[in-house]
Amino acid sequence: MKFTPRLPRENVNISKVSPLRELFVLLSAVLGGVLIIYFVLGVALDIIVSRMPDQADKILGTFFSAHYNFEREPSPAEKETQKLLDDLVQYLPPRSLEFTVRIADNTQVNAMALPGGHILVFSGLISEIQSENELAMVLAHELGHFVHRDHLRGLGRRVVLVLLSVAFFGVDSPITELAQRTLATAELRFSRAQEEAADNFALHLLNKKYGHVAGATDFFDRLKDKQRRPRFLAYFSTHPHHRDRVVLLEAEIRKSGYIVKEKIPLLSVYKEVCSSDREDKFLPQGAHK
Amino acid sequence: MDLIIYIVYILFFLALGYGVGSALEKSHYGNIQKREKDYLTLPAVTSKKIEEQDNIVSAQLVTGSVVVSLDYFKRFLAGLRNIVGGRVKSYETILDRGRREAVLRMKEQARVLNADMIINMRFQTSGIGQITKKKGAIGCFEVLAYGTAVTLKEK
Repeated sequence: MKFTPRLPRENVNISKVSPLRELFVLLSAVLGGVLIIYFVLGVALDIIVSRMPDQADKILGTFFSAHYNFEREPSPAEKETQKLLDDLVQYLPPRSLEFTVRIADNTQVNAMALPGGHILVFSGLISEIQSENELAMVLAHELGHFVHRDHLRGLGRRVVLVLLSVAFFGVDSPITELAQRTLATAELRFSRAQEEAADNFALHLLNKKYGHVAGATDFFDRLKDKQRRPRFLAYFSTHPHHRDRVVLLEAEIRKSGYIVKEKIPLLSVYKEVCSSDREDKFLPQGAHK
Repeated sequence: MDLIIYIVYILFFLALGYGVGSALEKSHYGNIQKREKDYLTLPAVTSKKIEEQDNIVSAQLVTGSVVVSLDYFKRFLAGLRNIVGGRVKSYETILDRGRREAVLRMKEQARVLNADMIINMRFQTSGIGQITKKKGAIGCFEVLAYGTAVTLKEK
């Protein structure tokens, strides 16, 4: 046997695939797979949510109520708001879910619908309200979200996203961390259609309670010019389609043939919540509405 | 917003890894090919015995080792492969370069000893540090080539 020194002609140990092409192919496959699964699960979720009983909402609610301190004794302002809310609820078909409202000490102008029938109104929003009708409109709008189960849909979608992220990228991946953080936020952004549906629901509920729709658009109208103010940051980031709200509401008012009468001012018990000094929006202490 | 920053961060390191990694790889391969030509006359074989067994004057252990690490781009590709399965092509060049470099270093040692050939050559690849799928894993490998450098009696 004779040894002939020779170099191999080509390297069989490496593949001739361009790494960039490999990256493109793999990324499309993985991302495509994730997107498809996400959409399919989203559709399935919508179907499940609309058939879900109120019981599920209540169970979810226990997680949020403790965190946002709904168990505590309500303040006088909160008691009045609860009365207003209960008054509105009586016009809804009977359900096992109880609605509670609390006022959070926060200068931000916002209101949130949390799972379990909990509505959280920020004191910043109270200070911008100028009549009872407007407050009723805000509460009725949140009720609309509950009745349509909008918050459950959003939560379900985000749970799916976290599960997918864990399955594909592992528990330690920064992508999973990101998905988990978005899951934790209770401040949801509802879709345009969901917001419109909630607005229309609120309008009809307002009319049922008062017999007219004064104050339905006032609050949103006033917000038009306040987009850049920091106190309104939370509101505008969760309601990106604000501008059309008034227009759509007015169209709905015309369509339904609703009328506008006099607005009822807020009870003075709200003064302790507001930072505003406007006297004309409050009723004297103990006055009957 | 967070997501956008994260994606930009990933793309940046991917581009950096790909750019610098490819350049380094090309230059290394050029270097490897040149040296392999030089060492053509010093064969390394895996057989334990050779025909000129009785002519062996001296025999000594020689080793060549090299530690290679992956760039971000290769690791990212491997991560994607981990999901769908299949050949991890991005790792192939790293290991190929590692093996050839280790063999060349082993031959360097043999040349210093004026050996004629290396017999009973073996490879050993092992991971350094944490190569499991944990946070902060460094994809580092050591390739070791070892054999017996023999000097034959001159005819």
